[in-house]
Amino acid sequence: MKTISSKSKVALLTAFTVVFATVPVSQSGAVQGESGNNNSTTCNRMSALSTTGRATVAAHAATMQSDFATRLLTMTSNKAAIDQKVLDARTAANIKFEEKIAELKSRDGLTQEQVTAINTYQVNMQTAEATRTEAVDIARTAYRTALSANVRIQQETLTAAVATYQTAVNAAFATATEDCTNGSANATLRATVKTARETLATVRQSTGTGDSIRELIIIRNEAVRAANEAFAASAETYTATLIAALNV
Amino acid sequence: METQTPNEPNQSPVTEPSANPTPTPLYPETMPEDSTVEPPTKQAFPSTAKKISKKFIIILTTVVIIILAVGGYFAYGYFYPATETNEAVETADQTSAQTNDVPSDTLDINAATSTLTSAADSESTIINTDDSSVAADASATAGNVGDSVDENNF
Repeated sequence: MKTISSKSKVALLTAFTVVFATVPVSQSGAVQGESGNNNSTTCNRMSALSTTGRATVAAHAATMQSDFATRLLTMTSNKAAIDQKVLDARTAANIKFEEKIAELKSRDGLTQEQVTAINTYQVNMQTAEATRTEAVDIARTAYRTALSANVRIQQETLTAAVATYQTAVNAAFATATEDCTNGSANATLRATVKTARETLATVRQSTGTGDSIRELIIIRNEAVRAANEAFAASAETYTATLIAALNV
Repeated sequence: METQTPNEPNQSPVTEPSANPTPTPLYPETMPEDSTVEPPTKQAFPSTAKKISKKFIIILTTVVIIILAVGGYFAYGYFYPATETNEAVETADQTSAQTNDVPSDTLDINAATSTLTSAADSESTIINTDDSSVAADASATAGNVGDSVDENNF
């Protein structure tokens, strides 16, 4: 009995010594509580970030779509305004031209041949003008068609890129919120959002339309210039012919 | 005994006419040999004078011509002050006459042609405003989307 009790004492003493040396009983309950509080704070913060981030991305994406629509509307209204200006200018020029022709015909002493020469001049000039305006309109239409295609492609590409970005960011927030207790959740969220942002920036850079639109403008203007020069050359010929016919 | 230096006879040959009845030459004996050569003054003067006179005549003539030319120019301008102006006026009149000489019918025809050619140029200006600058950079708003979330704030 004494031997057993001596061994028991030694064993108990050893056991208590080990236990108290590693995990104090008085403190073990407090560590568990703090860890729980930290996880709760991280998860709440992650949830708030997710809510704010998703809402901001959605708002900016909506703004972008609105801007795209506004741009298309502005382009359409600009086209209509320019078309009207061109039409007005052409109408006014034709009216003036008719008036000048009437003045020429109203001169006294014109022979029938001279009147015929004036009529021929008028028809030739109007035909040349019609040829010019047709060429100009073709150039303008080609420009606008290509421009619309450029803008449409750009908007579609950016819309898709933004959608991809939005999907990636939302998924990252969802994952981070679910794994908020995981210590690496924050780092994973950061990396995912950064990658998504950089991908969108790369797409943006590749969809720039400035150079292509400038090229379209040059092509259009060159066609308009050529049409005007051809018309001017024809007009010069017709004018000289009429002057000779009127023998003035 | 009277002493005589060896040079005495040579010193005064003229002062002894009795010794030599021939008229004493005025100049030393060497002079007659040079008598064929005229004195320098008699030789140089005529040629230099000719040269000077020629030069003088040339210069004088040139000066006179210049004076006459300048004087004539100013005299002409004095007596005919309106001549140049008249020429200018005449030239201007001729230019004006050339413009006026263009028949009015020709001007009318040119004006008729100009209505359409000028309109074509004006039309180009209008068309150039159709640059659709609103479409130049539509990606700015897409950039805003990308900036929606800043991972550095996590």
